[in-house]
Amino acid sequence: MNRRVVVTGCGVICALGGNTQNFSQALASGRSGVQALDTHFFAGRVRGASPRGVAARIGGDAAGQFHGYELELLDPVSRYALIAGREACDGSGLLSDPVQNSDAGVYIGTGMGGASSVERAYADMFGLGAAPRPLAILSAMNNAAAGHLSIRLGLKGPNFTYSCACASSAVAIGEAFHAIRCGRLDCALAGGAEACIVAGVMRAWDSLRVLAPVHSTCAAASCRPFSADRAGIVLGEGAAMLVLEDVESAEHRGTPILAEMLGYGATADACHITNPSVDGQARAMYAALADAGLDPADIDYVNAHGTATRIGDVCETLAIKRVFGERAHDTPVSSTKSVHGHLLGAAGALEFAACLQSMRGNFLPATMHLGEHDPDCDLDYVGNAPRLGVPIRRFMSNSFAFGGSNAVLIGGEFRR
Amino acid sequence: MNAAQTVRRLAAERLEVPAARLDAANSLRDAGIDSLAAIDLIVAIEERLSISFPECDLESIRSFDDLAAAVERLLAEKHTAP
Repeated sequence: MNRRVVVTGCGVICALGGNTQNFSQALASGRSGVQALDTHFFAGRVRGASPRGVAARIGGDAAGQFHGYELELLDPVSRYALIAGREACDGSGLLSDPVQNSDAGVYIGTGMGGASSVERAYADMFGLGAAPRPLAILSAMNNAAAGHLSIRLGLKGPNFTYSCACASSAVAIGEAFHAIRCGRLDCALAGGAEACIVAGVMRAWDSLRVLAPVHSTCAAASCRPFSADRAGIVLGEGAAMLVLEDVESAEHRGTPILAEMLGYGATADACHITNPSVDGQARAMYAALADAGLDPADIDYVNAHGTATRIGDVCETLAIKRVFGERAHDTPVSSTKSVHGHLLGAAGALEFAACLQSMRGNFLPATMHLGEHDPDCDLDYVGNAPRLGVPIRRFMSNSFAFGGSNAVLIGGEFRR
Repeated sequence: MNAAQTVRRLAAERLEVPAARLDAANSLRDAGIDSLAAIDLIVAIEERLSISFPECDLESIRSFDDLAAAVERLLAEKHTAP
C-alpha cells in the first residue's frame, strides 16, 4: 500500500510573524527577524558585564493568548506549538471533521524542549535556594507540546516527539508522511517547536564558539550563510506545523490541497558528534530522491540547512554538488536561516513551510545579507533579494544535526 | 480578610477570572481547578502567607472550605509556634 500524501494545513509562528500569511509576506519581501538582544536579556544571569547577543525572537506577546495558570503549565515551546498547530488545523478544516480529527496523530520535533522551564527550575534551586515550581517537570518535559496539541485539538492517534537536534522536525514530518503513505495512519499534525532564546541556552551555545556576534552596523545582517565573512549561527524560536493526510480523505473532505509530500530520506554520519559529513548528507539527499522516485533535475529549489558556519556551509555545498552533479550549479539554493534564525529542532519544519509558501507564491526565498561568497561555496545561492515570479514545482529541504542525524524532505505541487 | 476570602481571591488571580465567579462554587473541580491547578494555587498561597502545607494535607483538599480550613489551621500554628 503506497498512498499519496498531501499537505492540507500550515501554521507558523516565528520572528517573521505570528501566522503563515505574515511569514510568507516577510519571505517574499526579504524582511529579517534577526535583532540584537535587549541589553537586559542576560541581566542578573551572568557575572560581570552582560554580553551582547543577537537572535530571531518572536515579537509582540505570544504569551498573551494564554492566561494565568496556563502560563505556569505551558512553556513557550508548547505555546508556540499550540499557536502553529491551531492555525494548521483551522486551515485544513480538520477540527470540523470529527472522524478524521479523532484518529489524527501528532508528530513533533524539538531539540531543547521546555528550555526556559528547566532554566527557571535551576535558577530557583541553585540561585534562590528554593524548590522548583510545582509544574516544572510538566512544562519542561520534551513531549509536553505534543501532549497539549492532542488534548486541546482532540487528536487521538499516535503521539510522538522526536528529538534529534536540528533534524528533529524534519524527521517528525518524514515519519508522519511515511506512516500515512503506508496506511498506518490517515492524518497527522506534524512539525516542530523550539523556544531556545533563553539565557542559559544562549550562553551554552556561545561556549561552543558557534554563535555569531551582533553585526557591527546592522544587527539584521548577523547571519550570513555562504558568505566569505560569515560569523556563525543566529538562534531563532518558534514553531511550524503541517496537516498531512492521504489524498483520498483530503479530497473526500473537499479541503484545499496545498502541496504533496514526495520524498523523505534519513541517514547518520556515524563519524563525529559535531563535524558534518559530505557522505552522510549526500546519502540523505539520494535517499529522499529515491523515495520520491525523482532525479536531481526534477528539483527546482533547495532550502539548505545553511547555518552560517564555515564547516557546515562548505560540507553542504560539496554534498549538493555530489548529488546534483552537473545540475548543481543550475539549481537555486538558499538558507532562509538568514532571516528567521536557526530554530534547532523546529528548523526543518519551518524551512519546509518556507518552501511551501515560496512554491505557492511563485518566488525563491533569499539568503539575505549574502556578501562575497566563500570561494568554496560556489552554487547558485539566491542572495540578498527573493527571486520573484519564479515557479517551483518541487523542492528539497535539508536538515543536518549534531549527533550526525541527517534528514531531507522533498515536496511539490499536487497534480491529479 | 479571612482565610476563605483570601483563598478565593488568590484562586481568581491564578485563573484570571472575577472573584465573584468563584463565589458559587465550593468544589475546586467545579471552579475549574484540576489537580495541577490546585498544586499551583497551594504554592501561591504558601508564598503569599508564608506557610507550608504538609504533604498529607494535599490529598484531602477538595473544596474552598477544605482549603480555607487548612489555611486557618496553618496560620494559627504559625502564630503560636515558639
